[in-house]
Amino acid sequence: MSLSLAFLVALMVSAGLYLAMQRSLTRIVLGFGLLTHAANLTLIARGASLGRAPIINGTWVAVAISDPLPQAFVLTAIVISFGLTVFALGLAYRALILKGNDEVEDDLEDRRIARLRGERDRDLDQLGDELDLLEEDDERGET
Amino acid sequence: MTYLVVAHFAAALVAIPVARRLGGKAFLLAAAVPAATALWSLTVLSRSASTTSPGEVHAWIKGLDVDLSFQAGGLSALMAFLIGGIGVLVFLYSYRYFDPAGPEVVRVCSLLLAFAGSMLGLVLADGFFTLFLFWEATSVTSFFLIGTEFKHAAARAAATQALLITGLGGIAMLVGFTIFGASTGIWHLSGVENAGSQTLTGLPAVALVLIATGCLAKSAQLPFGSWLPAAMAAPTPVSAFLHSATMVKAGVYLIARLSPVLGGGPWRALVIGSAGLTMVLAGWRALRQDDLKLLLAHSTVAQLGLLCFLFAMPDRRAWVAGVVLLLAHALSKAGLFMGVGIIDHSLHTRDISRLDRLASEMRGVAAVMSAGFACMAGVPLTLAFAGKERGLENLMEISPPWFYAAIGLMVVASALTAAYSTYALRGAFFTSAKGDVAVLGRRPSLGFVIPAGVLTFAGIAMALFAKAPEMLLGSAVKGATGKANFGIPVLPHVGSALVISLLALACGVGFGYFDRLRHFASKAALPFPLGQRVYEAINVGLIRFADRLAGVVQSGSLPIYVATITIVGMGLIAWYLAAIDIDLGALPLAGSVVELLLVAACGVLAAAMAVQRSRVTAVLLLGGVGYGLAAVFVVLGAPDLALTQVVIETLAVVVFLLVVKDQPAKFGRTRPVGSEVLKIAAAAFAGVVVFVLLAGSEGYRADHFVSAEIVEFSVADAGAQNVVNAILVDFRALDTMGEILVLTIAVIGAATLAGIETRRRGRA
Repeated sequence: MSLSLAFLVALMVSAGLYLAMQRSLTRIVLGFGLLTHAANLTLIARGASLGRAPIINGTWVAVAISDPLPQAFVLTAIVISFGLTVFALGLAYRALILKGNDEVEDDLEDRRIARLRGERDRDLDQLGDELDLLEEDDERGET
Repeated sequence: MTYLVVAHFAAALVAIPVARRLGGKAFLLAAAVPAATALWSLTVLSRSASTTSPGEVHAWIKGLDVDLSFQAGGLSALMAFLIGGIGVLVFLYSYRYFDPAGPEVVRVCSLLLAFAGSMLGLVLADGFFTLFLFWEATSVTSFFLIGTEFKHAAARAAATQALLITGLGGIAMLVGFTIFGASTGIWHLSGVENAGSQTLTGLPAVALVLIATGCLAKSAQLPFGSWLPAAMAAPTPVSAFLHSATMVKAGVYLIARLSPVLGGGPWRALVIGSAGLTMVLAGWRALRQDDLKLLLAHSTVAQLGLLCFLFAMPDRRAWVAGVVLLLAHALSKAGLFMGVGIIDHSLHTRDISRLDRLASEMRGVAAVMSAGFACMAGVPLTLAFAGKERGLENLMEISPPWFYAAIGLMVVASALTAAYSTYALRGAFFTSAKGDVAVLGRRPSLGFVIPAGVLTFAGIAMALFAKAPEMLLGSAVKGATGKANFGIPVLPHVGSALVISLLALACGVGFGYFDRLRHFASKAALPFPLGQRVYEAINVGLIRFADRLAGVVQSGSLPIYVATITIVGMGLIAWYLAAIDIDLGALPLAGSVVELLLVAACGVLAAAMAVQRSRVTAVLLLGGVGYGLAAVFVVLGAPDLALTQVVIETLAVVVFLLVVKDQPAKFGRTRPVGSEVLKIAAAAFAGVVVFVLLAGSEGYRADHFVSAEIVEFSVADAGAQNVVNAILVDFRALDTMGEILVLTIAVIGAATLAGIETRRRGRA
């Protein structure tokens, strides 16, 4: 793997992750597209790619052709990632129809938990009272 | 042994349909199962005094020293006898106790059988993991039995409390077993015993402390004692069986097994300290109770403390006293609980202040309970007296100074036992009610009282006919001390031990008899919070802490999650990279000029994509990167990939455009500028780490060409000149099948997501 290929992979990872950290679902899917490209390129560049296609014409020399196995894996990966893209776009489309945009909002339930601490405290006081039903008579002597 | 244990669980299953049909009579049938246990244990006890019976081992996980193994030593057989014998009486008692058509009959009958099986498995277990398995099984069955009246919040809370405390103790024990086994290579109790006396240091000593912690939790010793009084929410037969006679003895049992052979480390001090404190404090608490059942619960905690205390002593003569008291306590306490259950059943109260001179109306119950309290308190001519006197005698013979403290503790504990026994007996049966008088409903039938009577009078009978306890205890004592003949004195020796025990007894009886003295005790609250309050504080505190933590960590924002994952994941890789040698200069800049140009083009497109605000342009840029990569693949010698990439990229761009066309033309702006800086920083950090990883690890490659064989067989076997095709459709055809399946599912999903809305729109 040459320095320039390593640089390209790193750049695509950076750009992809940056996009994945955005609020728009479309940008997130685009980011995943870049991350997929980065992963595929890594596998091929690393997998003994010597420049000659693994196609046999009569005679062959093992060391002279590119390794076919990583190629087969990456071919599978390209197709699978297409499935992922299509499904995620389906979600983005549905979000658009239902909400009018494709923004990924904060999880409402999580925000509620963070906000409603006081209410939970009251629940817990109630739990404490229930456990008190089992309380031994520590105070009975005094009362 | 295995069959006997399995039979219990099978019976527990069969009991469900049978009890549905027969109602309460099912208890009578079920009693046959513990009866079989009792008979079997008697044959073992009569035999194993001379020979040790062989164990049974069933392979489980061979590589990990995990097996299912049972062995019946003397102590195990004694425990099995208690489980079986008391079990029979508990089932007979349950027949009278429960409403024959009541909803809890099926539940209790089946669960009691399952519990008896778990407990039997526990005491017969030889392998550590077998022991742990049944140990936790008793915790779980106990959980369900305490929660029999699950409609009451108190019963549910009590069941959870018992499960949490004994379950956590069990996990500490499992960790202990694992450390012990891994550091000594011994994975069986029999192995520990065969290895002989040893003094442990280092890891095994730590392991032993963990195991002892599990024992203390199970036997409700400080600081884990709170669950047992709470567990009184269970029906009385359950309390009599699980929470006085058998399950709570599990911790005592294990301490008794390990104590004779394993010394060293702080475990003995831990158990002796905890149990010593427990037997005095819990005795004090028992004295403050007005509810008879709670009084018995606290008294159980105190008596278990005495047993742990004696068994943990390094001297084996204290062990002998312990095993005598173990038998005495199991018999008397189970009987006492049954007695309280009868009172509760007939008068609908257990409050001492509401019971009015019961002795005149319930003579049988009064006699049974008197015998029970006498046996527990250790009045002369009972088994407990013999055991306690023996314990005192032995402690006095050994003379390091802290044994005087031990004797002092035992005397105080005995006095307290006598005190609350006197108080309970006198208050319930021989004095008038102080509050409103409880009215006697139905008189208890003889069949209801007999099981309790058998148990409480057995404690007296065994002291008079010493052959019986010697037969029951003989092989246990021989196993622990090597001596078969130990002798239980019917008449006490005249000596200082006798004087001390009588003095303690007299003090206790006096203290319990005179209301004014007891009143003083009930006024004096304990100086530090115990049990329930601590449990409650931990419980509420944990939930509160979890709330705070969730509020901070679980922000609900996807960008924050992705940024966190990126920084942590890449940080870990960076941390690892920092430790190895990396030579960045070893790589060529590029394989060829074409490659360099393509890389430059792809890089520019990808970077532009990240900052592009127009949707359509961003999508087209992604397509551009994809086509660029296809060209790179050609340069790298992968034409099949290039073809696939072009086709898929084209399709993807089309699908993208279909979705994007209905959306706003531009992406919205990120709101806070600070978060934008964080995202760029995290992404840049990831890029740097990936670059160093890829460039730096090139020198660590081991093999450059992995598919020589595939290439060789491609033409001959698959008839393919294109090796990649041969792999996809022949050598790894199943993978390709899976891939097609995944793709199909994804497309169906996407079509459904998009289609539902279209249909709805069409209708509107």
